[in-house]
Amino acid sequence: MFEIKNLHAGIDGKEVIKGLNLTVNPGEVHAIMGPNGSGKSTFSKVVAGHSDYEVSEGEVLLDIHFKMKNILLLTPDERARNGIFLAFQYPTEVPGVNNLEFLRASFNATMREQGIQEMDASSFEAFVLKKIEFLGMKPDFLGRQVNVDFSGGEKKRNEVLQMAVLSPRLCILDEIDSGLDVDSLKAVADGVNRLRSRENAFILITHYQRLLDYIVPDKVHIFNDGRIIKSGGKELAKEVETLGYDHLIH
Amino acid sequence: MSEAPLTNREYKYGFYTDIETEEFPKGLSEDIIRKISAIKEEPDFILDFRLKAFRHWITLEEPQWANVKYPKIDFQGLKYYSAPKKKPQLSSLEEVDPDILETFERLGIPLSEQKRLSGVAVDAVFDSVSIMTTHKADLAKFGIYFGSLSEGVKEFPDIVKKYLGSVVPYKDNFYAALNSAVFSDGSLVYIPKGVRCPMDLSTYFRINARETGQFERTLIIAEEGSYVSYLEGCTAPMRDENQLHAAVVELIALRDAEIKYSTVQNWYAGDKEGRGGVYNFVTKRGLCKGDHSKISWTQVETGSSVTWKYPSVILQGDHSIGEFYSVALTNFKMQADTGTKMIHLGKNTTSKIVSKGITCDESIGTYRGQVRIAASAENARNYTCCDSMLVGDTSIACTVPYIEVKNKSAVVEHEASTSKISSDQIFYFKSRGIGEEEAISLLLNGFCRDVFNTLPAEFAVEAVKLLELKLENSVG
Amino acid sequence: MGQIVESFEKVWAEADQLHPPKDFVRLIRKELESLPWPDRGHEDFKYTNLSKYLSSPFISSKKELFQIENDNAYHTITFINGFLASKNVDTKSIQISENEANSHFLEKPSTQIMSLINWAQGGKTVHIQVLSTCTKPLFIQYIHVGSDSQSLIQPRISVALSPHAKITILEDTLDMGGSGGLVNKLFMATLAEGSELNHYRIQNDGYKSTSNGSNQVEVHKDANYNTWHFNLGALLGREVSQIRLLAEGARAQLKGLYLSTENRQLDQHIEVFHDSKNTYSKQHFKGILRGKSKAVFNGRIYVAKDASGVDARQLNNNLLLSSEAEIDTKPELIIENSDVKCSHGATVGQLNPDQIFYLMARGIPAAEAEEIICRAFAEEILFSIENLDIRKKVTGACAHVLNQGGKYAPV
Repeated sequence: MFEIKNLHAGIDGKEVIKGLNLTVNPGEVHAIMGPNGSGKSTFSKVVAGHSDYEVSEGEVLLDIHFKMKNILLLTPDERARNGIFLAFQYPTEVPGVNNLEFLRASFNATMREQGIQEMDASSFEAFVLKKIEFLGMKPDFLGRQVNVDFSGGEKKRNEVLQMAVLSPRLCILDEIDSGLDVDSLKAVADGVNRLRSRENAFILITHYQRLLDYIVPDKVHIFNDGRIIKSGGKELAKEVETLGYDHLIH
Repeated sequence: MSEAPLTNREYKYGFYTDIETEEFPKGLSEDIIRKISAIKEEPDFILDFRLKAFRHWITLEEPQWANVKYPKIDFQGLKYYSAPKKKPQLSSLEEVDPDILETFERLGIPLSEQKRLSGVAVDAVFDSVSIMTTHKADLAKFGIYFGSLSEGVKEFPDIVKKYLGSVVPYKDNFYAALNSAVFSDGSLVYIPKGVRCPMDLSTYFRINARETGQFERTLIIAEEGSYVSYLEGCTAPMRDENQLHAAVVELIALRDAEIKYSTVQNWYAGDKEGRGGVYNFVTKRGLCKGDHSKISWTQVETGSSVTWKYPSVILQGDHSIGEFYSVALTNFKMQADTGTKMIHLGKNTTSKIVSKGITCDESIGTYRGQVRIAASAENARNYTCCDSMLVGDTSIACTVPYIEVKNKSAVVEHEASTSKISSDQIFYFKSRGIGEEEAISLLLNGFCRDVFNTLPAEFAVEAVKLLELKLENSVG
Repeated sequence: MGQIVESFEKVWAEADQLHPPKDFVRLIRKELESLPWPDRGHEDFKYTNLSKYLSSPFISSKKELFQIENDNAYHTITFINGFLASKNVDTKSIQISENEANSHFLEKPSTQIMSLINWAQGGKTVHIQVLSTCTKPLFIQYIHVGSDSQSLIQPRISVALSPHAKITILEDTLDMGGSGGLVNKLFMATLAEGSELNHYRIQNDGYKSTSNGSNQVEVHKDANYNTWHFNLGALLGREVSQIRLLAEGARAQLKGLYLSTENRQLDQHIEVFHDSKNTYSKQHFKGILRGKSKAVFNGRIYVAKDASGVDARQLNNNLLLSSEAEIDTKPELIIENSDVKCSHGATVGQLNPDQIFYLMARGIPAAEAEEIICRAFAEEILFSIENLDIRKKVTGACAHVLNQGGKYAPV
């Protein structure tokens, strides 16, 4: 469903991703672990299509209408409408824009792309309220401005809510655990677990093993210096926990 | 000193040195200009520059737009050249008039070999001429020239010819034209390619003579990849009549070069009733000519009865940086109209303006600043912060920023606020055992910290003392 | 160029036939004779050379007939080509009369050149006396019919609020001709003790015209003046406000939005005079610039010597959306008292790329993402309009700039 082939990418002329290969199938949860500065976050930005990053080589392929297409040729919004979802490490604040309106604009953009009737304001609100209930969240989220004056935990939960509304096929969660206390982490992980299905897949980017206690991955990849240096099952994460990254890198 | 009258405590540099001087008669004409040029044995191109400037100047009117009022200056009633009788620019200290040496010593600028400041090279300018420059030989080892402009032009005629008037053309404004016609002396600094100047360079200006205008001109050229930190200080005797100071400073920073220019301006400001004091009409401008160059102005303005001064930066090179940090204190009946211009021409240029105005008694302090982002300046950034502090109920503080943006990728932010030292604050400090003087000093330091932090350490201490001294009489 | 007065001689001659000019009108014409052209040499016109808009001779617009539809949500008075054409006011709270002059304001006519030009035409001033609180808003409608490049339209209104009276006034324009000319409105208001005026102005003159709106307001003890300016129309649209806070407890709140497109220019000049102690003012103006347009913001806060306890704030934010647009902003403070809280801020920027990326990463196309963020920028002002009917009117008037073809529709 999703495949990265020999990806080389960087920022400001400096190569950060140096030959990355990865295959993800529907229903899978992959964890990418690595020390700080190993290029994990660059990877997420490149897949989402941030214009600050340049790709020098390689392909990122996504199954679109039963054909593998190179999404590097698409704009960020086209990628999103075709099922790529990046949960930001630091969700951007957008003052003045109402959260519910933002969600509806986002949802309807995807509907248009798929040729499905857009939802009007009231039926959309009902639809979102159901999702909120499903995730065990509070509805007061909707009346606020996008991420403005949200706590760290609220921002991350807002990302999960967007994920629930947009039903993407591939979700990349960039350090969704950073800056969260245990309760918020549990709530976020619980939300993610509820959204797991046979049709979608997740890539969890994290520095710590802690997150993987709550969202159990099928595969774990150790990332260093812009490429995957080791892959394995969930037990690999435990190895990192006990022995540290240095042990695996050297 | 304990017996000194009140006025002396207000301005401790107000004494006058009685020495023989050579002076030109009052008035300004082509003839006087030729005489100035001849006595300085200048090359023809300088005389030519002076004459062109003079012919332009006589067509101009004094600028009226600044928020300052003063009686019309009789430019024909001033003397345009005054120098100590003994031959200036001496080879050794023994030849310097001992009265002058003592003068500088009283000002805290010892020039003798044993006493002189070790980390700072000093060029001492007395009225119209440079008396001597310390550490000249040490600097020469690095290929650095630091000394009087009159001497420097003989050594570096091509450089002076290339850059003199290139940043502040004589047509720039009324006072720049006047200065270009009659400039007496000033400093020339030349830092060769790749050289980091090993010590701070400092010029100390002293106006001594009566009814004489001071028109120094400073030119600093930092070649590619070089660095220099330059300081200037100024004082004048107390007199009932006004003295005119119309200087021009030009800075040129080539690729990757950095110039840091700090001023502690303490010209005589006049007395409580507004009698006397220096009219400080100065044009200072830097050109960031090369990519990644940087020019930083820091000024602590505490003197002069009228100030008209806008140290500016033209950001021509891509990625160049311009900075302006200012503390301007006015008391009694002083009037200061000061600020900066940041002209963004190159791509990715950045400027920062921090202005702190303190107005006391019946003074007027105006911040006037311009930030211009030209259409060519992609991704330009400016941040401006100007704060005013009013002390007492009779002073006036004005903020007049001009922001002109012609490029959509620019990000410009301006903010300003007013605050005050209140008797409540001082009472609060006192109730915690802190004396009034220290309380004021702490509050002032807090208000001005962003600016003082950019000054060389010794200068910062000096600046704080100066402000405290000035404020003592104004905070009740 | 000759004198300014030459551009108006024809208009005056015609006006004088209807109403022989009073002494003060002659005096003002005399004063105009001595005034220099408002060009860039003068600080107030540094960014706008007004001379070129005034240099051709004008002819007076005629009072035309026009079918007016009244909206029952408002008391309405209608001006056609600057002349009072109809009154639909059914309350005893409001009295409308046409006076030779409003003596109160004439004792000290503003030195602003455009208000002098308005006065110099002579004729009558429409005087609105608000005797007591009026819950239904008053709609002042300007209709321009059959204008051409030489038309001169100069409505003049003075409003007086009696003590403790409250009213909402909306000014809007319907330009039926749209062929240019000069629209030079003068609006004066006096707010007596404890009164409150909510004043909405939509400058929506035709795209070929030069529009100047002078707004002179005096606020007395404990009175509140709240105004919203929407500077939207005209080739050159100038809004000039002078607000005087004359006695303790006087407050002014000014909000504004200027949306400039194509080759147009929109200027706002605001002066707030804190003449008395314990007076308060707050200004927030926002601008969006597209195309080759230009905008000027010049806001001045003046705090007089004896005015202690003043709180004055000013903020100006600009979004520059085109590489050919230009913004000149000059937020000024003149403070003569130490016991005050004053601040001002100004920003110029463009849409935040991180925000655009965030919206795009959620599937929203770039153009729509820009529109959403742009709208949010404007809505900070739009949503402060409490009267929903007026908010709808204003939002509609702003749509030409805010809707750039995206699908986003706010509730």
